[in-house]
Amino acid sequence: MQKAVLRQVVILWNGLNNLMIFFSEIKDIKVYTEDDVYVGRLHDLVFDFQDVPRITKLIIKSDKLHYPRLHIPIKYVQSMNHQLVLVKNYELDNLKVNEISIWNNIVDKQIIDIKGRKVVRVNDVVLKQNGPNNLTILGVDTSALGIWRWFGINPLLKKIATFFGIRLSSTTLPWQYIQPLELTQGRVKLNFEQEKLERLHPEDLADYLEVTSMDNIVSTINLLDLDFSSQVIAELNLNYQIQLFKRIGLDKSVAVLSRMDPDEAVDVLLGFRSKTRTNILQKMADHKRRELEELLSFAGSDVGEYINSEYCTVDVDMLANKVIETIRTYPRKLSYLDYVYVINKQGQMIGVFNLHELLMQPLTTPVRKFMVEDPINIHLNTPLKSVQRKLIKYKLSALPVVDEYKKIIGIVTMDDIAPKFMH
Amino acid sequence: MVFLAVMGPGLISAIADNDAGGVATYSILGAKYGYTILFFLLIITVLLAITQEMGARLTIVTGQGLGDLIREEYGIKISLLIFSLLVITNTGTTVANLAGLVAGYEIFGFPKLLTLFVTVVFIGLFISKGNYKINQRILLFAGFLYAVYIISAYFARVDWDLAFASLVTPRDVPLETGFIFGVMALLGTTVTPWGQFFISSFIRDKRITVDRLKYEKLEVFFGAFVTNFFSFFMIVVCAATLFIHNIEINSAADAALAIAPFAGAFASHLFAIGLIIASIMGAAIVPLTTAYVYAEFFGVEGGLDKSFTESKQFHLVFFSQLILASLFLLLPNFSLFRIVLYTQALNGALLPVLIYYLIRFCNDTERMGNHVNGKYYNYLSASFAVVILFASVFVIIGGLLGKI
Repeated sequence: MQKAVLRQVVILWNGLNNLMIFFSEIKDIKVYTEDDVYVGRLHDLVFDFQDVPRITKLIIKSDKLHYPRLHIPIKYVQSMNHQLVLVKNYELDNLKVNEISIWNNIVDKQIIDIKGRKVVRVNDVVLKQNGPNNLTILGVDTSALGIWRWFGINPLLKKIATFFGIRLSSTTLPWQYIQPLELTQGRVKLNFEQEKLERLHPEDLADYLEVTSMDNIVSTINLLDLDFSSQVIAELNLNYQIQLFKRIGLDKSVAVLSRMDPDEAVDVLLGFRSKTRTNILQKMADHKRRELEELLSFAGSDVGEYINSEYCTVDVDMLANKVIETIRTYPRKLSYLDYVYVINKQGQMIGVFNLHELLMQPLTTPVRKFMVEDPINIHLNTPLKSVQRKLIKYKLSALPVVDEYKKIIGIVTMDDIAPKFMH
Repeated sequence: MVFLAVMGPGLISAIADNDAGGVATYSILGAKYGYTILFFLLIITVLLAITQEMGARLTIVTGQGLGDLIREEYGIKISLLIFSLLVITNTGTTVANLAGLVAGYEIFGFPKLLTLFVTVVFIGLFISKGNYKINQRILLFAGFLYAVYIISAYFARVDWDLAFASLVTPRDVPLETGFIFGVMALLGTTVTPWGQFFISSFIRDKRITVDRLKYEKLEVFFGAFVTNFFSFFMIVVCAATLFIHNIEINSAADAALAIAPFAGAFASHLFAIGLIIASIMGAAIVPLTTAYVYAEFFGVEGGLDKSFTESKQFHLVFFSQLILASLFLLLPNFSLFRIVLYTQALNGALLPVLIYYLIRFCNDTERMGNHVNGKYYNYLSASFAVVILFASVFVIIGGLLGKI
């Protein structure tokens, strides 16, 4: 009788052989050698905490009294399914000091956020099987389903829920949100606040992902649902986007690109070789493909040709009266001034306001209080057609052009670009 | 001064152990067996003190509640089982307390539904709107209102010499099953599973640090003493009036009414007020315990200082238990006797397990460092665990045979 039945959840998204396994599903499965000698039951998995935490050793609970716990390096695993099979001449290893493991250090532990507030407990751990002896940790399950899975009644619960038209799914907290150093001190601590967990903004997630490794990005994106991951990908900078699409496979790329803003999708497509671009476009729905193809045909007609360097920027902490003074004493005479762009300490454009908004403010209000955040912007290689569409759609008279670091490099005004489309 | 700073958890949880069920058991036994029962009060005081002290020490040293520790050490399956049992028993206990409340009010002729509604709303506001400090003060104040039993005893013409003699020496112990069951029931209403969780969680919520451990220990012992100091008067009132005149009663409200002819209306009313206070404390603290334990087992924020939005699940568990218990009480063919019986039986099953965990954790040097149980302390607590185990079995059997 198999006690635990291993259910493997196949992620269809990327067409790869990625198998998602829950720790509860393999805990206590029987371990045999390839010649059918019973070894014990799988008790725990030891891992090293790098960017992608990889399982290094298995801890097996043996019936033999003098070896209650066997530590076996994962390289001796031959296959893992309903039972775990080791190669015949496996060798034992010792645990090093401070080595941490799933059952001992993660499952059932309290998760706290960066402010030390309790979020929830770890109900289960999500693993990814990349090969017979290659297991990595994807994240931790924090949902109630993570509790019921230990009792093996999830399929039943899901059936009942489906009967009532409810779709149950577990919530996974990607591994990247957990501070590895805290784990060694026996704490599962997140690297952000709890509120952000509840409705993580795509921008925040993208900002976070940009400073981690590509592996992290790929595994996180794979955990998210398609709509949300599209939003996150759209927020990543262009270089990452192009690399990412190369990693996640054609089908998912098509799905994500179809969900992205057409202008941004075009930016990404321009980064591909023309053959890849054609492949992707061919897989898209007809109307989507035509829209993108049209936009692509405008690419190369250079925004740079219309770019205008007569614009005004102010610091985000400046007060309204200081802004007015700055404009008054601006060294150059500006032929055009409708908007003032707000930049932060790093020189990135983070907001905008128009002159009317400025005049309505009490004189001592700081800019950050009344600016509009995340202004609509374009890039140097944005097709002129989409520049025009953005100007009209958002009823703007000028758009800032930014580089990939969000630094403003100029503006394109309606006046300048209009003649191009008159003819 | 440090003692005043830590004062609260020990006293409150000990006194709350004398909830409506406790008052009822003391009254009934006092009426049935008189002063004899007093001797067992001493034993129960020591027992209460020891179990509560372990819980308090455990939480102060580890910074975690009993629920936290059980989940981390024994995993989700055990935790969920204990939590489910606790929800059932705590609902039962809350029902018993609300029933005691209504019975107490009825002595003064207040309408049942209205008083129930008002009290439940009051308790709800008290927990959700207050903060730890204020709530603790109110609970402490309510605890000392138990002193009404002392005044009540003043009017009851108690035979003090006999009372004190019975307290220190076992006198005329009737060797009959009913008596044994009675003593065991006494134990069962005083040392409870929710009491074990409550003292631990309440201390965790107060965040008492290790350097104050010895003061907190003192407070826990003091709490156990004060609780049974009040119980002493409860018993002697019934012994001096009902036992002497051979009047049998079935509930605390009966007792309050029945002592009137002998001790006067004033003493009777004080007895009823005592019952109401005990019931309110029980009805507030027992659901609070459920909410605390929920927060610990499932790892969400939960505490008196947290607002509703900060700890939604904690508050929802608290309210739903309170409301569920009120609804039970309003059921048309509701049998308080049955509910109390089943609750006691389940409590009896759960308690030895919890004491076992307490002893295990208190002997874990990794967690407790040099604050582990001493050798004799272990013997003492382990033998008490066995006594409690027997008591639980007795209570269950006794209940089934209808001996209590």
